[in-house]
Amino acid sequence: MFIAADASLFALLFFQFSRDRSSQSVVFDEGQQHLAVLLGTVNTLVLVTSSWLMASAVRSLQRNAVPTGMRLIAGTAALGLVFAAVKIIEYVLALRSGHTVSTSPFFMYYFVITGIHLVHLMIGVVVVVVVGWRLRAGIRKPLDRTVLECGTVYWHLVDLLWMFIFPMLYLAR
Amino acid sequence: MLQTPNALRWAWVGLVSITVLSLVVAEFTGISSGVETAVVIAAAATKGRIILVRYMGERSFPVWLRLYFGGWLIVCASVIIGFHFS
Repeated sequence: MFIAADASLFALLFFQFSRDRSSQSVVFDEGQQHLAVLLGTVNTLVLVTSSWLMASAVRSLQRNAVPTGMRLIAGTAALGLVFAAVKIIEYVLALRSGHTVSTSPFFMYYFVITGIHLVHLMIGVVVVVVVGWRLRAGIRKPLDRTVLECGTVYWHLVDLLWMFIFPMLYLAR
Repeated sequence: MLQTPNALRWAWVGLVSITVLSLVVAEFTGISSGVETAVVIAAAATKGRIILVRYMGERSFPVWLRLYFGGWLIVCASVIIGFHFS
């Protein structure tokens, strides 16, 4: 229920962004030209790789390969931090170029949408670490399995949301 | 439902390939902006479907949640593409 509500929030943001973009396409196209597409692409690759690691971690833990599962979970969290670091570099580059939330409607949406997503990602990193900590001895109770499934679905939701944010903000013209 | 390591790996290969192709279409082909938007957003929806099925284990979701996420992908892609052509 929570992830469905969260996905709905982002769907509303996508709707509002697209509607405003269609009425101010020149402003939005101009703003988009200042984004670092390469960094956005790198972050996309980082996030899909983290999802692969997380899905592999679930498989390992459910087969009782705990050390492998722990390594994969650590890798997932590490890639989450890499994503956050690259995003902060992007923010610094944008701010140094004089682009802030109040510069234009495009940058308002850019900072709000990517900022909310970044908060989700950081929560996801914490969730992944907590899942790893709780399951460090393997899956021993039914609740452990539920914790693993919920944490995993949340992490993949963060990835799923970025799959639309990246092309919508960086690529679509 | 557990995916095999191969299925997980191929899903990753697919996600990376589609991401790179989207970048190439958007940055290097010079096609019209409408077609470009439609292609990169359709690619995003395809990646979303791969993540849902291969990584999130959508098939083990309750029916309402499967329908919700299926609809969510279609609505998000349609809204972005639709407003672009409006």
